[in-house]
Amino acid sequence: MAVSRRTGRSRFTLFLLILTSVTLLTLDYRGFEPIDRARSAVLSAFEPVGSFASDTFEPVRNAWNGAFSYDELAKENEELRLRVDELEGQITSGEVAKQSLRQLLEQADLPFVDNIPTVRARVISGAVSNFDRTIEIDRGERAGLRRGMPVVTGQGLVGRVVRVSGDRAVVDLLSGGNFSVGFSVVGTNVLGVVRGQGDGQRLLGTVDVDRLVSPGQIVVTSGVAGSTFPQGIPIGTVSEVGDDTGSLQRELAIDMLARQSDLSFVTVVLWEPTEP
Amino acid sequence: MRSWARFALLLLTAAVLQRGLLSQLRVADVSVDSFLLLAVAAGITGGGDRGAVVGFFSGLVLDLLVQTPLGLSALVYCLVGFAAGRLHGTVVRSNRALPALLAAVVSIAGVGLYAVIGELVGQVGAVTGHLPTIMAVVGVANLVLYPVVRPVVTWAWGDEPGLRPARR
Repeated sequence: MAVSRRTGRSRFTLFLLILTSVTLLTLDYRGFEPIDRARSAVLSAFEPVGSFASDTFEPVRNAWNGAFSYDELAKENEELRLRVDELEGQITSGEVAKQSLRQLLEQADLPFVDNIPTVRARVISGAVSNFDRTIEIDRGERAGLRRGMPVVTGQGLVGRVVRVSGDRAVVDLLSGGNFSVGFSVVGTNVLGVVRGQGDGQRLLGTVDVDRLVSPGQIVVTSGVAGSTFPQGIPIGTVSEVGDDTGSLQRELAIDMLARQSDLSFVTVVLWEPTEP
Repeated sequence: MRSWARFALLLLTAAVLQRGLLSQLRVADVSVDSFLLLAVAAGITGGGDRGAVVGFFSGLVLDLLVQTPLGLSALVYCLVGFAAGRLHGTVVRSNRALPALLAAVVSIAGVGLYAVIGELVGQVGAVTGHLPTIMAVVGVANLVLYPVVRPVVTWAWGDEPGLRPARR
């Protein structure tokens, strides 16, 4: 009898906890404002603790990386040397390519992101858990950052700011797939939507099936009315074009221009979407 | 000190460690999940009921630190804590290595459950080709770390040896 009562109470506790979790999930899904505020408050609270922990544990992290990633680091070092040689030879052609992109953007009447003020930030922490696709940067509200601002590197779009405290911000990476971006194919009037797939450098884009897109074309943020990103931020290059299988949409595989791994510095574009 | 205060202290420590250290020490791009380990250890040492409560708060703290849907970790870790306690009550406890093995198995199942429920609630890319690696690394890590964490969690319960609640 006692065992039965205890089991019943146990199940009731579990039921209450599950119910609370589901309620929180629902509220978060519906964009309940206090949840965002609570998360920003936690970010603020962890500013000093996080910096202290980060500095304190740095020798441990370095030792760990040295012990477990030696081969990887050696390989990376070798690759970087080769890359430096390659890049030194490509500086001229890179400049030409950059100019070409700029010209293409101008032809398509897209203002380049250079025209918008930016803030440079250092990446101070990667994802906290294995399913989190965010990074934390050392600039926040005091540097003018606000929620929703685009984050880029020299190559292109990386993500967007999702949480801000005084001197910290959390950036949701584009590859994580938590948000989609409207794009246009440079030099054409093709518009589509691109989204991350959870990991890696490859994104999944969709365009209307009657639009012609070829591998190698560059896609940039479209910045159409109501868009959450300004026009003309490079996103990636089309690597594969899906078959027309009777659907109204054609799928595109898009390789991101900006590398998402080993980010050290990023640039936040101080641009907020205008209200429709 | 009451046990809830001790667990609050443990959760704060786990948060600082996870954010400042553990999330950076990656093997095959996977880090230890101290919150999951805490939930599992609480379930094994305190029983399913108490494991569920600790798992819930453990997951909630993690949810506040990351950008995944709020309540997802709380839901999964509460189920994991409950399952760990229930399963520990059903296995023979003569073997000292068995709880660590159980911690590993429940952790692997927990990671899988997280990915599946994550996909259901809109967490894109939770179930990817990388998932088996995450499950394996987290399982092995919790197998190794459980004996280290167990005495700390037992201290947090504050129960006298031999007076722990009967396991069901």
